[in-house]
Amino acid sequence: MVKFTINGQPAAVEADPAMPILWVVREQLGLTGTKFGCGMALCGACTVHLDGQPVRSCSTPISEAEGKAITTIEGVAGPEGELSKVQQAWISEQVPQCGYCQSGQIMAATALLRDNPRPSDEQIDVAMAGNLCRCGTYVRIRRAIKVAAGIEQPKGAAQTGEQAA
Amino acid sequence: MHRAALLVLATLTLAACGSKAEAPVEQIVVRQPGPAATPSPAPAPTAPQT
Amino acid sequence: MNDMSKPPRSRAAKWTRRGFIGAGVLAGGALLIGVGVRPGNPVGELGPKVAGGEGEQLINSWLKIDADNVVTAIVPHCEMGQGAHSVLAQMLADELDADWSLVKVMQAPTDGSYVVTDTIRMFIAGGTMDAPDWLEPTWNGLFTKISQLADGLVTGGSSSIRTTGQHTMRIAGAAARQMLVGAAAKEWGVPASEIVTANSTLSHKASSKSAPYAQFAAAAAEQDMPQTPQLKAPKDYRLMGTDAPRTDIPAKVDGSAQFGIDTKIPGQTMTYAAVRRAPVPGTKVAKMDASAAKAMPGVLQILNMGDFIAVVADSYWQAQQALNGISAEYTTAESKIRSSADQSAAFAAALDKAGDAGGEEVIGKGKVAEAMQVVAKKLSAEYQAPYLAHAPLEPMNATVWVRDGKCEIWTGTQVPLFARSAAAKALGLSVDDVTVHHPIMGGGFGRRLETDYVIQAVRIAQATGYPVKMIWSREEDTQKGLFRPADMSRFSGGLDAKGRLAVYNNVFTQRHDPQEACDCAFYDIPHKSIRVAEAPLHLPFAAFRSVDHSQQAFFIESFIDEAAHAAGRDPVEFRLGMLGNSPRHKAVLEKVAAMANWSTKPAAGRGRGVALTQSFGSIVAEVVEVDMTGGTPKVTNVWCAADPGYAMNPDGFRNQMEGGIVMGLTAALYGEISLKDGAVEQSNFHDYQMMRLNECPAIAVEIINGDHEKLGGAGEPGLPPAAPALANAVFAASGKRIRTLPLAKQFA
Repeated sequence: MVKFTINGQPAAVEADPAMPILWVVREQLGLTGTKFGCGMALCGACTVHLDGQPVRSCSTPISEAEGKAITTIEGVAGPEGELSKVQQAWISEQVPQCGYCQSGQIMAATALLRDNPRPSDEQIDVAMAGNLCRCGTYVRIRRAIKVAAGIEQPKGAAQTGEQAA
Repeated sequence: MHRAALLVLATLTLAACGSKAEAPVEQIVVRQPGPAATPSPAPAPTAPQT
Repeated sequence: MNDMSKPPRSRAAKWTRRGFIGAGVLAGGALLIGVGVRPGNPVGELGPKVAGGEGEQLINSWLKIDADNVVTAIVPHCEMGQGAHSVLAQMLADELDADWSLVKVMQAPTDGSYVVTDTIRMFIAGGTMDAPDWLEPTWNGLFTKISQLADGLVTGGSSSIRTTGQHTMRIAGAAARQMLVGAAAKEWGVPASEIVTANSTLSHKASSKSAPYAQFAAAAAEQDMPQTPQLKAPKDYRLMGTDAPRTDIPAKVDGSAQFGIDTKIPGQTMTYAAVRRAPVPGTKVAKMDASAAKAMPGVLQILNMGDFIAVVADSYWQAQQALNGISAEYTTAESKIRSSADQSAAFAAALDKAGDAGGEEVIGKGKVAEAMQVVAKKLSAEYQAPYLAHAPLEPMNATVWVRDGKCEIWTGTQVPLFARSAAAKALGLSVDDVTVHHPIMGGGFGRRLETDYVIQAVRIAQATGYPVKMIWSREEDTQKGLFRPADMSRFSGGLDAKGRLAVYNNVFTQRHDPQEACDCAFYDIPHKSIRVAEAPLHLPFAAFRSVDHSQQAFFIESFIDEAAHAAGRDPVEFRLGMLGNSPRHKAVLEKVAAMANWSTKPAAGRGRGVALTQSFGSIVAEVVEVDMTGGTPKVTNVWCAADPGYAMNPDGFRNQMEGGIVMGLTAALYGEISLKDGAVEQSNFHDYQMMRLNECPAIAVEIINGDHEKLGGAGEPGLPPAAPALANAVFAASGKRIRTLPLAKQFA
């Protein structure tokens, strides 16, 4: 039995302690927002937060979650569904194409901005290099991170005079 | 996907594409699937994190 | 001419293929209205499938309105990131004068009623798209029948918007709008011409009446179906041509978007399968030792299916762990091609045999052999491109449940009707007993035009009787799929005394689709011979984003560039000189040159390269700037000018260009699927490398709407110019001409 919290709620699962967090979350907890892309921590689609730190859940056994807090993409928005600044920027900049990598991208970007509210391009590079996007939305991901950080204005803001949130 | 591919597809479909699946060469049944595993119930995602 | 006040030709006559009668009541109480019925039309069965909800009213096959005034566009094409769902709805909503914030999208069921007649027609008989009106009903009926026979529900070829969107969706919206107006006019006792529609609302100014569409949806159905609904001219577009936010994006930022791999069957215990096909195509399992796997946790069944091994378990990870513990021997392949060198040698032998004039002629213009005698300067080059794997981030997967003589499938596929037929055939069932659900995909790129993985899952489901979710590992996905073919192309040519390309002679080995990809038809070249030489291909072919253009553009635009340099001329100026009969291409090339400040020199150690291509109806030119100061190519900038005729959603179009550029650069720098002992060597993203965010250049895209009546596609056209523009930039920066992809390892 492994005990942890998932998006703020207590959980206890019977699982092989070696089973990666990814598969416990997807199959036993039914939270499918976290994705499988490579199984080798090369693509980042499986990124979740473990006690707030971004980890590749495909390569992190559930035993490592004992007593810790797991946060998935489903836990990013607020209790009434209020989207985070990162999620809002992902929408204002129309980032996703197929969307399969974007849960992992958002988890990585969220951790980056929590630790570094105004990252440089180089810091964005380092934080996001582990998250592949086969559809190639990198230019938009970078821009959305800057919009979420308040470094750039959202698309359309110039016309409407809106300030970045 | 263009002309040639489409005509090939059409032909294949009309000609009943694919073939009937053969039985497995070997089938090892270890056990039957049990009732749905009972982990702790999947909680509704809550709690803002950022 | 690009007259923006002129509406595109209405395909109104298409209504006769559906026909229309009045209302009927469905089981469940929803009123089925205005849906066409003609003998044999299964519309009566259609209603419950697509409009069975409380208060939902089906207006025609393509849209329904509910009591909350929400319009749902029923879209036949699949969504794989290219934005087709949203933009098709955007086009329908514009003609309907709907409020975009009240528009939703629903995937049409996998049913012959939803064949994409316009797409099929463009693919197989594009010349009939502009048939005269009197012939239109016949053509339409004929192609609908052909489409239904050929399982014509396909998404590919960058075609959804310019076929189904431009013809079916717009007409569906325009006709529904007129029916709503007619209903309101009748109720209000006012002339229809005085009723204004906007934002899903009908209003009559003089009498101060207004109503949401929902109020008249039922009555609309009883209106006569307009046979020639007027479509909007571009100057009247309200949604088309704008960056209407995509309907599918919100679910993609909160984890709620459901892909095939996320399939759940309510109330059922899912079982999971991991599979390993024999390593070399066409070979089988000779011996299987599953003794260790039998004892591993979670294992339910182990199957030797002949061409692949499957482990079915309580969880995917357990299935994969057990599968990893199975050792097997395989039969030997007949193919003589065992290595990449063998493949190249086979290509070279075919090209040797074809020589300067042999092979099958694709294009023959002028007198190549004679003209070569009198050229001022000759040049020749041989180019090679490797196999590529599509590598969508969602690996191949399918969930299948076979029970009680029926089969239900949940899988991401670009060909749902084809998948249904193939599954029915595999199971010996009627297609009526097979249901295919196809959720959004985590990337298609042409890989999901194939149904190999679907049939694998069907076979496992049949053998076990369980609901089974089969997921390919990334290794399996990289190695056991179908591939963009390797290819080789030889050019010889001649420059005249004025440094113009007078002779162009080319023979290559892989011709699949589109037929015209091997011909740079927009350049004026007086003497041209383009031929294809048949050569054996070891790995099975699948269309890869832009198909033949993906390698042909590298070959052609590299050779054109070499000709420019051989002539001592600027690569942009050299190309412009051949575009005298191609004004739209000229405009695109001039625009990208201006965007890139082509006339200025880049910084020391950097170089710029250009490439111009036309694919899937869109003209695209790219300039790549590469920094070679570190010794390996680092792409700093890409400028892209594109003319898609008319961009229905400019931001969406730009997103597709950006994505095509990243995929094209990835292929150019790193993409290589190589062979060893007849099997694919690469396995995961460490050895099948992708461009990452930190390597991604700045990308600028500008759109020229060159002809609003001749739309081009968005999904694929951005990819082909990337590799040649990069190779040309590397040459400009370093003097090194790379003729074999991928590039990066040649500078390692």
